[in-house]
Amino acid sequence: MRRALKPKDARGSATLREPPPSALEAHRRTTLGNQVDTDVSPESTDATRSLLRLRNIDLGYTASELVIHALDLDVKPAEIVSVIGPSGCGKSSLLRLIAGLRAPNAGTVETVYTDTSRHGCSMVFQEDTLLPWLRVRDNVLLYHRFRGTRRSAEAARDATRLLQMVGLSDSGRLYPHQLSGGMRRRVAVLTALCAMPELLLLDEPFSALDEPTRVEIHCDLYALVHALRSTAVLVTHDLAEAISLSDRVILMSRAPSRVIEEYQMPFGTDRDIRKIRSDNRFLEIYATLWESMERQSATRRHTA
Amino acid sequence: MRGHAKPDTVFDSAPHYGVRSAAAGASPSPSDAQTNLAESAQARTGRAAAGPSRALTRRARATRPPGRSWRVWRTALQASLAATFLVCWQFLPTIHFLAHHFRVLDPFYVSSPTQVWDKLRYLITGDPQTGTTMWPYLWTTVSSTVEGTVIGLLLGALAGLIFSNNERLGEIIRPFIILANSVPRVAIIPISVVLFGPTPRASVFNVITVVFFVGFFNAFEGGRSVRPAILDNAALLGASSFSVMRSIRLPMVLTWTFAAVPNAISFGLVVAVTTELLAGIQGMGALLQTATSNVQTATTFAIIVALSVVGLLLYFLAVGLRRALIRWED
Repeated sequence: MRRALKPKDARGSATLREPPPSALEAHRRTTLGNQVDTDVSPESTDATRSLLRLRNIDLGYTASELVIHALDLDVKPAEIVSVIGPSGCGKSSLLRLIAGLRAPNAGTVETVYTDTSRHGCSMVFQEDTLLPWLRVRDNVLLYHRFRGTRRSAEAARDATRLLQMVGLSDSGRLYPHQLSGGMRRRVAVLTALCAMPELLLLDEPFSALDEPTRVEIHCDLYALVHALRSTAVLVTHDLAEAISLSDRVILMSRAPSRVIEEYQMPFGTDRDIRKIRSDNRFLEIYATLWESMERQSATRRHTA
Repeated sequence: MRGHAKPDTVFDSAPHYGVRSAAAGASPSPSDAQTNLAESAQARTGRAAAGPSRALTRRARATRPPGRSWRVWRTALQASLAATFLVCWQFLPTIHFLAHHFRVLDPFYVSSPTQVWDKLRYLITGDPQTGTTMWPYLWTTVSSTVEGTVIGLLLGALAGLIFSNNERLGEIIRPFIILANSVPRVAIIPISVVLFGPTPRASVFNVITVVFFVGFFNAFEGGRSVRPAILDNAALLGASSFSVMRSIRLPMVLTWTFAAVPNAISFGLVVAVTTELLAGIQGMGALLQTATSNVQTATTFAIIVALSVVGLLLYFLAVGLRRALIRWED
């Protein structure tokens, strides 16, 4: 039985959307006992557990042309969160805001890094950021190059291990122009992860790749992020990517956007990325997300 | 479709794929589908469906990598052009009518390939009367060119790197650089002779004043052409401003600067010879000055040919150096 959604509060924060009932019974009982509590407004979340907290964010080029308005977001440590929404709703801008590459017009961005031995935040960009004059291994060690530790044994060990995990051990001495698109994207992910970040941001990193290659990289990425116990925020247009990789999917409205719906994924951390697409729960969630996205796009078309 | 009811869809007026074949009892084939579509297109537009346009065919041909036959053709055409030029140069001035009416074909002014070749041999092996060869003069010119080009490019690249790394500093300094580059170099030659005397140092100085700007503009644009995403990524990974300059902008600057080396060498050679010509410095320019003063056109052209060959060799040397050092390009 589907419960009615709790109305949004005055600040526009979203409530946790109840997943489609026929698909997710087991998930409900596992995570919340036999009662489903859909009231998870930001105030009720344990703030000390959040790695990332955004409060009342306004973002835009001018005060009158806001792309994001009154946005709240919490991300817990070791969580993988996907952000989806109609084109132009400010997803990439939100990611750059979290990274500190942009300042908000209003509101606060709070990141609580708990492990001082690790790097705070790194990002996989949609554009190619590999340095053409460095070989693959040197690109992966970019973080250590900037720190002056690229010749250390630790750095060598990290690079070797990461390259092995994605099957690029034999490609360490190649230049980026000698790599395929999928290999280049893997190296970009490794470059970000070699810093052992607590927070990994991904801005549509695999949009230019074909589906089978993307699924393979999803497997690698999922294994890497969990091995490093990093938190990840992924911006994507690909609903299947969002569902298969994430613990939680966040839907943003059209601009001026805010978070309007959140979906908790029922798959757990030991999911098989390759087989998840044939799971009935996957298909139902996909249908639900598709409807929500269509509603947002339809709203934009009617007001355009 | 005048006089007919407007079809509901664009395909209503066309034979449908499979209908004819189904009526004939045979299963439709892909070629049937193409034929049907082409016919329907013709029915709609009233003209035969066109193949790929000529522009598209030319483009497809241009993007194919050249094969061995093209290289053979290319060499043959180059040799033919050179031979045609030499034949015209040798024989057209011997036609009295042409030589009389066109000064550029007067053998007194243009000499001939055979006479030029004789003088070139003397320059290489030694004049039978004076024993003079061109080698000491050539060494002065080439060493001034190379020295001035290397120093000019290094200084220009360094300036381009520094100003491209700091956007505001670059904006402040750029108009002054453009102003300085607009000064005619010929006007600087007398100043350099006053500063350094009629010595090869004056040539080196003038080569630097030209090549510096070639290096600077290339390096500046190279440093500024770093993609913003790369700079953002570097910032997120904790790179300092110096690290960005050393690890990101410097390789970009080097790539663009090395791309300018062949042109820089050519400009440097021209400036070195011009300085020697005007200042009497004992290089190929001075040799040229002597030959032209004595109206020795064959010797003049022989010196020009020698300089051209040297310029070509320096150019290929620079290209080879670039290929050896810039290994990361596709």
